[in-house]
Amino acid sequence: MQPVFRKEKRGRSNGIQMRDDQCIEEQKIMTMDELKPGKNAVITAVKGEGALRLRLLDMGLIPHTKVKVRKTAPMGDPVQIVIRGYELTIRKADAAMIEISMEETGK
Amino acid sequence: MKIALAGNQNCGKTTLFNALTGANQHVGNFPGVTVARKSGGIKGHADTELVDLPGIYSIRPFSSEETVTRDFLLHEKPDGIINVVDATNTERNLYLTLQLLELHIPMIVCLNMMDEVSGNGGSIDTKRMSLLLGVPVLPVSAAKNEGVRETGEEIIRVIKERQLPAAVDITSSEPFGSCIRTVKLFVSEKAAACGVSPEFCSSKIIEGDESFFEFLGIGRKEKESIEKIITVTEERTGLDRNTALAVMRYDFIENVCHKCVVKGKQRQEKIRSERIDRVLTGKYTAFPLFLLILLGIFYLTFNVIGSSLSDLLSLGTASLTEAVDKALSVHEISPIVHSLITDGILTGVGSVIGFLPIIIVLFFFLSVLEDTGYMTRIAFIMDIPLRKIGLSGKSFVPMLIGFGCTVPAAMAARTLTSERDRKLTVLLLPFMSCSAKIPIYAVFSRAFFPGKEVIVMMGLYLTGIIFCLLSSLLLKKTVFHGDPVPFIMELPDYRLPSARSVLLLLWEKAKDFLGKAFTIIFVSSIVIWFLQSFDTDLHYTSEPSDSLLSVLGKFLLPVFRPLGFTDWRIPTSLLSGFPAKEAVISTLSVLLKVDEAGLSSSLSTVFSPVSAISFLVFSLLYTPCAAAIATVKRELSSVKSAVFMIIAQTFIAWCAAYLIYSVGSLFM
Repeated sequence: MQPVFRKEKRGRSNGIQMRDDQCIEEQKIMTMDELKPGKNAVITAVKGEGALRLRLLDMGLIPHTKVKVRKTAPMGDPVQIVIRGYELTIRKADAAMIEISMEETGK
Repeated sequence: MKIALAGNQNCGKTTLFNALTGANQHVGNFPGVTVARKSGGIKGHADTELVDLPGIYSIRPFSSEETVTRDFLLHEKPDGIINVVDATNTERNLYLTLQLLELHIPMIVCLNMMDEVSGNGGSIDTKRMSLLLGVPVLPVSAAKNEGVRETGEEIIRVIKERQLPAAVDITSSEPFGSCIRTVKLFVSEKAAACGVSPEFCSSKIIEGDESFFEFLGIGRKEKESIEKIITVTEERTGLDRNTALAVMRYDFIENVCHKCVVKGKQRQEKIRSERIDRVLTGKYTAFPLFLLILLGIFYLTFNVIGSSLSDLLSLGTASLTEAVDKALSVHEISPIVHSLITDGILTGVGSVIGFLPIIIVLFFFLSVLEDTGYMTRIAFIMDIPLRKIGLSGKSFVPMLIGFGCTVPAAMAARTLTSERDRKLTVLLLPFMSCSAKIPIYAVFSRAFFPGKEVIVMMGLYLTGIIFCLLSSLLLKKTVFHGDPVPFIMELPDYRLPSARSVLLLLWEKAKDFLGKAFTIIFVSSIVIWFLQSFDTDLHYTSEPSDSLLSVLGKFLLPVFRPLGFTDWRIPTSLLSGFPAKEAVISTLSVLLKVDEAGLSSSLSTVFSPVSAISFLVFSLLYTPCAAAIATVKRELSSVKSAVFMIIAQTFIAWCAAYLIYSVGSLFM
């Protein structure tokens, strides 16, 4: 199997892990694992590599698509999301590959 | 003519398959119930072969059961495709439709579950959709048998007239559209020469499927220029090729849906599901309820419904044996035949038949869990705990099925996306105590722990689970270390299971069980009777301790003596459990020459309470039956794994039983 590229966890709200300018710029991008249950957002990009990424795209997780986090599982992972009118569950580590925006309006 | 039934997971393909063919395949509300292809003829059209394929979301397979579908569509070239689309979720379902259209095979689209759409005030303009997609589109409600006959007639017409999907241009969105058209020009001639559609080839080439360059015979130079066209477009649009393809397809679908689909008010089924989920997967309620449901199932199966029905059936077999015994005596049939019929066949088979109700009740509950959609929620809430021991949430489903029978459970493991998870799950399945062992537990707990039967049962199941956890941790640390694997699963709406589907499943299981009782157990009862009725010189003997079997049993006895088994009949019964676990009890009945009712009391002459526990634990853990071993060998395509399983399980069983007997003996 191809190795799955996982981005390092970004510094969350307090920004302790910021080290250089690049990090400051990157911090503006939000990913789906950070979305609170009940909140809506719009997908801006699907990162990562390999079969998992292709599967996410095939399931309709593509840029400009509205997404909502329904809930997290009792132990905090995985998350249940609503997309294109159906319910899907993915792990937080994989949700971290999906970049979202709260401002943009999607379809 | 060969017709493929293709569609997303859980869109009702099997329901439509049953309606079209009149077959009785089990339908579940769990994505991936169909893990292997099944086929049958369409009613009234004997020359057709309809193939029910595992559900897929895309022609790109993600798990091994999806590969079955992809390979069938690409390599076996069906004459026609019935594409089943869940009408309540056209957007995602039509994505596969677009990929299927590229294959250029006569095809129709069935909008299934139309009753749910119209029930909520929605509608779909099928004529318009048919024009936009270039293939016939039919409204169907497979569960209510509406539109089924039309589907059968339409697909046969389409195939007979060889009506190919009309050319539909989905590449309109610039600039990736022009990129695709250019690539298509490059490959169309070569694709035609290979007998594949150019649309499909260009999609595969753009997706970067290396095997297609080779398959079409595209040279290095051409490959470079194609690559260049794609990268230039990627740079211009800021989208990579795979995203661009997905966006293009979904743009087209959104347009189709916008024109044809009128959404009703929010679906009742969905609102209801959300409400149920608030409790069943709620933060504080999920685990307590899950435990409660499992305990409830065990209690009802073993204590309330199953056991009372079993008692009734046992009374029936006991009086039958008595009647036959009398009849044989009256007619003065030769004592050898008399003994063969009563002591061999009736005692052996009769001792097992009584457990049919318990097993059926257990399967009933398992199928309800599956059909309602609760199994997916179990996978959802159990993902974290299972990951800690090296499995994934989806592994839980095969494990639960394993309480019924290891054979379907090992096949259900095909839905797991990673090979590592699948192998590990299959290897651990035998620890989930299968229903064939229920007779052993029931007879022993009634004999030695009357009044505490349910506690003993639960204890045994729990012991199996604990051994499963320990083995999983051990295997994770040694052979199966590896990365966590993705977990993507659709959560379907809760549905009331259809009575027809559940009854059909139970009927299948009852037939299986009775089939086993009258074949394997019947034969092994006769064999055991023969071996214990004849001595080494093949003379009929009424003294079992002179018999052939006792020679064999006494030979094995030293191995089992440390476990507290002092009678030669015990290892013999365990040995007979290899073809089928129910045979352990039938063999003990034959050897002790008692019917099922008398078995409990005569067991105490051979076992002490401690050695009885030791025997139960050994039966729980030792090698799975021959059918299970064969399935494991097939699923993992490895003889080594199967042999490993036999040896490892028996070794673990011996050690556990030894430990229990040595420690237990200190206190008793």
